[in-house]
Order: sequence, then C-alpha cells, then structure tokens
Amino acid sequence: MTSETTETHSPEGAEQPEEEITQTVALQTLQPQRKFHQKVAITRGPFDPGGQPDVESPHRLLVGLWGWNVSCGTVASRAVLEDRDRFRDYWQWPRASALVKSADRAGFDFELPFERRFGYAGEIGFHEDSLDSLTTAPALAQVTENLTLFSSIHMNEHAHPLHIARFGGNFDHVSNGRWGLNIVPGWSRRDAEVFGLDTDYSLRYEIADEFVTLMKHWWSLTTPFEFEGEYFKSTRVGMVGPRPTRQPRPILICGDASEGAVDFAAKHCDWLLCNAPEDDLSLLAEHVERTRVYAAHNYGRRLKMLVQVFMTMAETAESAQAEYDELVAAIDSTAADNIVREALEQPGEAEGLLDTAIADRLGDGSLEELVGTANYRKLAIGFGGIHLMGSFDDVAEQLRDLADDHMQDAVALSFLDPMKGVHEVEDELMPRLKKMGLRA
Amino acid sequence: MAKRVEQIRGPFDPQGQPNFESQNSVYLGVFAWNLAGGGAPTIAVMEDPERRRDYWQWPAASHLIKEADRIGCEFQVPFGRWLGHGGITEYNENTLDFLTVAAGLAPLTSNILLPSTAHIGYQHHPVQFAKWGAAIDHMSDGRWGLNVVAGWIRDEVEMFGETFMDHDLRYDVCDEFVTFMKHCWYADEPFDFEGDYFTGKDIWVTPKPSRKPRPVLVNAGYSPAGVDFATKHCDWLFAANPSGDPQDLGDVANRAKEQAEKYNRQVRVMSFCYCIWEETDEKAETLLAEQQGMMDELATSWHLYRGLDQPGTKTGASFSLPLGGETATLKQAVGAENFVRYGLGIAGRQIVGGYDSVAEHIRMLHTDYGQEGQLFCWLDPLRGIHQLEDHIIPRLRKMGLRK
Repeated sequence: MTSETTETHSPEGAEQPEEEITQTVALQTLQPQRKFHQKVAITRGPFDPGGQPDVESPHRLLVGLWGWNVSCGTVASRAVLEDRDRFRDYWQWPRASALVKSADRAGFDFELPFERRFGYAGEIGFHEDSLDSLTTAPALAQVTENLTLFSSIHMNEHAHPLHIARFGGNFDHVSNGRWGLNIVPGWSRRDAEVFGLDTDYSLRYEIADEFVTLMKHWWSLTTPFEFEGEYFKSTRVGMVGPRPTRQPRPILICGDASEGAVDFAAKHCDWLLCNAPEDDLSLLAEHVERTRVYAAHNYGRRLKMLVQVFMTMAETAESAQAEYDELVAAIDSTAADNIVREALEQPGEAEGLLDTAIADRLGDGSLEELVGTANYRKLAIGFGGIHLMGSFDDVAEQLRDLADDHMQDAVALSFLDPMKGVHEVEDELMPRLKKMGLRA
Repeated sequence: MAKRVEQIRGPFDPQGQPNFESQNSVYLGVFAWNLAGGGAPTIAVMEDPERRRDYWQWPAASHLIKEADRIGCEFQVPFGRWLGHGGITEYNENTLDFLTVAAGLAPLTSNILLPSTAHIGYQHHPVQFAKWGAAIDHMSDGRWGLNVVAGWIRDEVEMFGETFMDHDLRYDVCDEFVTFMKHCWYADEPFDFEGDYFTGKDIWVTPKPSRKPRPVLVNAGYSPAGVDFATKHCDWLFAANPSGDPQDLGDVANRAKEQAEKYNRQVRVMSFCYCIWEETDEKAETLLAEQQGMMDELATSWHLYRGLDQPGTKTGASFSLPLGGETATLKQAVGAENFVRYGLGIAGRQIVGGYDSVAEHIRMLHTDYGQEGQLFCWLDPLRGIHQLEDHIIPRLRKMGLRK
C-alpha cells in the first residue's frame, strides 16, 4: 500500500504555534492563540490519510466469533432454554470473557459484537440483554493477546465522531493496535427514538461519510483544526492523544448490500460485510466482483469481503442435521416474527434479503408464508447469516467454497453453543483448514 | 407506547443510595494518573519523562492502579480532558479517556472503585452513559462509578459545536442528565423521557448495574450550584482547596452535610491533594520550592486562563479573580503565590512534608475538617504509591485511621 504524505490533508496554511521560548506569558497572547487552527478542506470521502491499514494476513480465510455479547446470540429458538448458561446467557462477563479468551487461543482472528438498544421479546427474550460493544473492547484487550476487537456503532443513534475517534484511539492504545470499528448506518427506527432523534434515513450514508471523515482527521492530524461539515461542526478540534497504535488507523468495516452501503464501504472502509440470499450463493461472487471493481475503479481502494455464518457441525452429517432440525422445530415465533417484521419495516430503500413488494403485504397472514420459509428460518436462526451444516469435513468444505467460489476473505461465526463451537473450530476445523491451505 | 416518567429533576433516589463502605476511617485514592503530567505543570517532569510525565501510557498506568488496588486504596479517580495545555512539558496533551480506563482496569483489579470522570455536557446522551456504565459495572462486579463534570473549558465545549452555557445552567443540565440516567437503571419496564435538554422513547437498559441500587456517583463541585448538585444526586464530593485554607474544606464538608440533609440524603466529602513526601519536612519544602521555581508557565497560564474564562456568573467560586490589564501576565494577574498553588495540583490542597507530618496532616483533615478521604497526585506517582504503602499507611494504622 502506498502511503500518502500527511501534507496532502493538512489544514491549509496551518502552522505549528510558535514555540514559546520565554517563560513570560502575556495575557493577550492567550486569547488570539485560539484562532491559529485552520479549517480542513476535506469533509467527505474517499479519504485515507496515510493509506489503508495493511490488512495482509498469512491466512486466506480469516475466522471470527460473532454475536457473543447478546442473549441468545443469533438463535431465536426455544432450544436456547435447554441450557441457559451455555446457550442464552453467555453474554454475562465471566462466561463471555472466557469465551473470547478461548477464541483468541484457538486462533480466531477477530470478534464481532452486536450493538443493541432493545430486544425482540418472545419466550426466550431474544437480545433482551447485551453488553455494549464499546466498553467490552478495552476490557477484552486485557484478557486477550492477538485477536482484533471490534466495536459497532449505529449512525442513527446519538453518537459523535469525536467521541468514537477518541475512544477508538484509546482502545487501540490499550490493545496494542487490535481495535476496529463496524459502522452500521442504522436500520431500526427504534434505535433513533431511544435518543429522541428522528433521523432522515435517506441521509444516513451522507452522515456516515462525514462522521468517518472527521474521525480520520482526528486520527491522523497533529495540529488542531476546524471542521465545518453539514452534520458536524467544530470550531476547534483539539489534539489530545493517544492516537491509534495501528498505522495509519484502525480497521473499518461496514455491513449490508444496498447500493448506499457498498458506496460508503468502497469510499471509507477496509472490509465489507456481505449479505447473501440463501438459495443462490452464486449471486454472492457476482456481488463481490462488482463491489471490488467499483471500489478500485471509483476510489482506488481495496475491500476485504466478510460473511456472517451460523454453523451447526457434529461428527456426522446426520447428527448435525438432527440438531439443526431441533432448532428449527423450536423457533420462538414471537421473537422470530419481530426480527422479520423489523427487517421488512426497514426505512428507506429496500435492502438485503427482502423485497419491498412483500413489505406492502405485511399483515396479510403469517410472516413465514409472506417471506417464504427459507428466508424466515434464515432470520430466525443465524440472524440473516449463511447456514453451514454437516460433519466437520462437510463444514470445512463449505468454508473452502466460500473462500474459493464465493471470494470471501473472512467469516464471522455464530453457534447455538458458542463455547462448544470455539472448541470445535480449534480441534476440528483449524487443522482441516490448514491442510486445505486456507490457514497458515 | 411506553409510559412517560414524571420526574426529570433530582433529588431522585427512590431505592436509596448505594453503600460504599470500607473498614477504614480514612479512604485513600489516586488522582489524575491517566494524563500526561498529571497535576504537575512543572519542568521538573522533564528530568524523568517516563516516570513523571508519560505514566499515563497503558503498561505503566495499569501497573500503577494494580498496585493501588493491592495496597488497599478504595478509590482511583482519573481526570477528564479533551484538550491539553501545551507548554514546554506538553502538559496534559495525552489523556486516557473515561471509558477505556474503567473498562480496561476492570479485569486487572479486584477491589478498587473505578469511577469514570466525564464531561457529560459534551454531546453525550444519558442513555449512552447508563448503558456504558451498567456494562462496566457488570464487568467489574459493581465497581464502576461516575464522576460527573459539568464542563468548564470553553474550548472543549466548542469542540463539540456547543455554546458555552452559564455556569449554574450547566448544573441544571447535569441534574436532568443524571435523573434520566437513574431512570434507565431503576426502570423495570421501558419508559419515555421528555426533559428540557434530553428526550427519548421506549428506553430499556440491561444489564442493570451490579451494585444496588445503582453505581456510586461523585462530583467535584465547589460553587453553591456545584455543591447543590452533589447533595441532590451524588454520594461523594471531591473538594478543591484553592485558598489553601483548610477551614474552607471544613466549610464545604459542613455545607454538603447540611444541604444533603435537606434532601434527606447523605454526601461524604474527600479532598484531592498534590503531594510531596520525603523523609523530612525540610527536604519536602526544598523540593516544593524547586518545583515552584520550575513552573511550566505557558501550560499553567493556559490552564488557569481556561478556568477563569467563564461566561455569566460563577457564583461564589473563589477562582474568580479579576484579570489584569492586557499587558499583564496571567501570573501577575492572579499573583505569583496563587499561580503556583493553583498550578501544582489543579487547585487541590497541597500536602508537603516529612512522613510524620503528612500522616498528621491527613488526620487533621479527617478529624478537624470532615474529609473522609484523600485523593493523591504526585510528581512521580509510582514512587508516591510506594511511599503510601511503606510510610504513610503504617502511620495511619497506628493512628487508628486504617485497619
């Protein structure tokens, strides 16, 4: 990656304040000093002072742990009630920290949490409890050594880029360069309402664009500056350190498959979280190809591709199938309906899985009939992620397909029983992936 | 539709205040350990930058608080900073933020309280704080707390695109903010909040804090509005001592006690101190004179200037000194003596002396002036912690002030 010089984005004409040699400080010299900072010209991306962070890895397929910080994880099935500690309440700190520590030791490359303001109810209380994804990052930094710790932030919630930039610089400092940010433009009206906001959803990628540009200025500049954007204004952005440890900055990721999201990710991020229709994975490779070309052609940037996965594996394909069937048979329809309804009611453009035409028929009967059984299950189990299932050999093959045929660079994994899942990844999958050349 | 809560101002502790009891009569803690130069804008830090200025860096800082935890300190209180004050020492130009220190220290420590110091007026929302705080309280098994700062530096406020409000009005914002936050922790069903400064719909925060009924709240208010806020909402008040007269500390303690009673509450008072401890009084006094003679004047001037640059009234604060003419230096305007006293230790009390005198000083502040605890900062904090363990705590034990 070529690194641009910092001059290219320094505030125009900004100069370091003259070093005070004399120890005599006249009062009048204090006031004017306020104004020595200059306005930065760039308020929108693409913007990569110092280039993109080098995310080269010895592994062809990166492996992450997803959704460990919320009750029920990605499983809206009453099966989670069979062993609440292991299947539902692992978000609680003693267990959660042990889980992520185990994942770190097992060779997972990252952890990806949810950020939640409300749950989806049902008998199981899906996502009713959660640890927030900002505070968990510096805490996990103390008990892990290698994996990258992501926080998630919703743009339609009450968030200020200077807060997140500063926290991020600190999290990166205390984790020795292992922090990253998942930027979620925001998809639930309820998230905004919690903060008394009424975000115009057609603007959310514009807001995100400006938000991230301001964060990148904070991370890279060494003199105070003024920022005058449409959504964020600051007459004097100070420069309190520490700056991020990873150079030139922490890894940024963005999710979902709408045009707005792809453009935003192509402009600003390093990883794109892809949504994929269950029944036709071939669309995934096309999407990846198109997105890569788009990012390279329009902005001269590179993107790694990440998919979210729900995994059911066992010694034999039969027992994996049996376990999966039990999950499906016990879907908590109240929680699942709430998840589906929320997906259908997404404001603005139609995104991801479901067609707007379907949304218009909301209330015409059962939601499962409305969206189709496959879509319904995919949202109820795995929260929209791809389902991988079978024996350890099968699942390893399926991962190889994702990497080879569908051009994925990383998978974020979720399980009914995440501790067991982490153990199986360490004991069964990692050796197989190594033989396949997907892991170094 | 969730039910809208009625109460939007304090006092608001329907389930009572949290217990924060130690077996010791005098509580001890470390202050301002999370920022470059701590409370010491003196060029003496440059003689050993690693130990005297850059201890905020995580390996050193986390070790420091682990040590404080081990020797039985009840508190650590980080400083809140969004802007440094520059100068030769680049005073406060690096600061670990309030979330990182509390969450990061949780897995590394066992007993010490982990309050965050945060300027809640800087574009924050009560629901964010309620959620962050509850999570850190959960991860630390009930050891999080919040040191509520209204925000007192114009440049920092303007950084967030906000207008610098009148001093007393800032405490009105704090009042509503904290009431809202407490609703998030106390509510057993989703609620709506409609205040003058903050609103929200269908709010539901889990997990609830581990400490019942809520995390410990503290405030360093000194003005009448500040003390009123502390007595309405908080459990501890950290007192400054800009005049250097211990009677002022006693007055704050009495005022806080009386006013808290009016609200049917209890507030305990501790002071924060800049410390120079040595074998003998003479040696400590010599070092004080040295440090005072080496003040980083630009950094100190900026710090004091920002403290003095307040809109509207700052009722009763003894910081409000008249500024001199345009050609005067800040040092001349506030007087050389005040300049070094406010400068060293962020307007806190100064405890300078031999170990015997220091122990006696702490006893005096406790017994005669109602200070139930002390928060210390030093030029070299690691040495300070060592002195605390080896010289001060044993003396306090003999006096019956520590177990």
